[in-house]
Amino acid sequence: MMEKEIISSRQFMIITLLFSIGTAILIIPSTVTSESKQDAWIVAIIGVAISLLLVKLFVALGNRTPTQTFIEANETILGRFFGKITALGFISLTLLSAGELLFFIGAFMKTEVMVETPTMVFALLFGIIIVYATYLGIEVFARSTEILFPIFILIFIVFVICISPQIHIENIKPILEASPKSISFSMFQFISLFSFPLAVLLMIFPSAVNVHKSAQKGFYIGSMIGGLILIIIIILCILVLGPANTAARISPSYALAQRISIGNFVQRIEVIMAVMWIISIFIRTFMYFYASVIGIAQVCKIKDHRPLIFPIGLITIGLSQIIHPNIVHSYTYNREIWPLFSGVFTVSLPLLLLIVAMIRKINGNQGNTTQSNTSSNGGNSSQSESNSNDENSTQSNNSNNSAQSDSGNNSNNSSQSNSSSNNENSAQGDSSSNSNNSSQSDSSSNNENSAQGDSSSDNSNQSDSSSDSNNSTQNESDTGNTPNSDRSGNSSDK
Amino acid sequence: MIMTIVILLISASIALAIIPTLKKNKEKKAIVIFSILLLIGAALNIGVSLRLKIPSPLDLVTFIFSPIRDLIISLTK
Repeated sequence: MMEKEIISSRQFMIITLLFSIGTAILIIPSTVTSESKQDAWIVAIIGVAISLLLVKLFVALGNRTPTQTFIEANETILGRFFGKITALGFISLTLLSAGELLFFIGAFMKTEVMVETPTMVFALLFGIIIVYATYLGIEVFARSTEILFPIFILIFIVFVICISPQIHIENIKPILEASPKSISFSMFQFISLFSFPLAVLLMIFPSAVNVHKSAQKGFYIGSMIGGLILIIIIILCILVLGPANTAARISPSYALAQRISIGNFVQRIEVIMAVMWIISIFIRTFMYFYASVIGIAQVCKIKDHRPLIFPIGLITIGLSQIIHPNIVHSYTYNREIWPLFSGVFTVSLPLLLLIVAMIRKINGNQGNTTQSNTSSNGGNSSQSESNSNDENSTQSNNSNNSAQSDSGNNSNNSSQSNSSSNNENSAQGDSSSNSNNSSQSDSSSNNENSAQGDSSSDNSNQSDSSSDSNNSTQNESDTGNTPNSDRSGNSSDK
Repeated sequence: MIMTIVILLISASIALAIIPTLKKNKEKKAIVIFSILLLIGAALNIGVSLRLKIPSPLDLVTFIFSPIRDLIISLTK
């Protein structure tokens, strides 16, 4: 039996951000501009806005099963038999995608950077890194993303600044020339590449994140900033390369980086820029691979997933060699089949799960009901409590601990998000146990303030004072996460 | 040919490293799943190294989803 791994909400935000960028940063400009020409940037903006709706769907599903991964949620909601079938479908999607991304990184390196090296070498080297990262676990991976994220943002800012002198504004004219049909088609393409895969994050989102409320916010902010970066890349591709040139290339962002020339002296720095998408592709490949490993372990009910990493790693590396015979196959697949294939398992399946969970009234507090109040304090609640303590270390620790030992168990039995109700306890002391017992609306009442607005809130039972103090503490703990994102959002605006 | 032996050696060393610990913990199901996955992985990689023509699993996916794609295309025209 291995201990549960927990990541912080800031780490989750960074993973969301880089995951949503993923391979899209390389291929999205050409897929989107091939249909809607110079209006691709409008498509991207609408696409990001629609993606937030999808994120809302994922968050709503995550709140239904806060302690389970997506695979376990399948079995809880749909029953053992049908749950296993849908879970296997989802695993086939993630496993094939992991192999596909290894193919993709190999094909990119072979066509653009190292022409004479066989793709197997890149797939093997990248695969070893992925396997090693999975072996170390999601915690180590999340910490590594915290290191990679500033590098990514720095390179992105340098990239934007260096390419901006080459902008030809006439490339974007005439605006709104594309027909509504081509706009909707390429918007579907954009969403399928950008936000459909976000469902894979449901493997870590409710179950492995310590503060649910700020992680929800991180889900929205991460996908929004990721979308913003993609919009900027698409706009730059259109402005610098022109729509026809962008659509004709397999990796337009790389061609964009080749154009960088600082005073006719610093040139050909595209490989440094390529670090940017190697980072994002690493994170996406890891998430697909991790989801496959955890998924297979959970479908087969194996307690420790680590023994399965090496065999699945072998399969993935082998898959990368056979999955696409050539780049044209990959291009047609990504254009025509991937939106349908991934749409079934990343949009229809969560939607189905959510509807069935609503009908069956699964609200995320099952499983804890049988335990007595006193006994659940230690084992059941310890993981998220201890972590939220770390997060809220600015608050007074003494009151926090004492309040937890008194009433923390109640909150765990009743409420959706353990850690946010913890915050409440630390502020309120003993009297808070009443409001905690009342309903699971602790978290959803928070939600109203955090601007995402979960529609499922019924905070009728809560007293005013409790929700007020809740807000204040919640904001305190959130400040640790937001400045980073705000800064990056501002800087990428420039 | 050399690659085949290398892959077999790698698979055997992975099996030797992991199966004893699983045996010690008496996880029979894990051993079975592990062995099946390792066999698939080794066979796949040997096939790749011998340059056999293995059909892409995505062709199956394409086969399943192409009727839906054709339907959507015919609806939008």
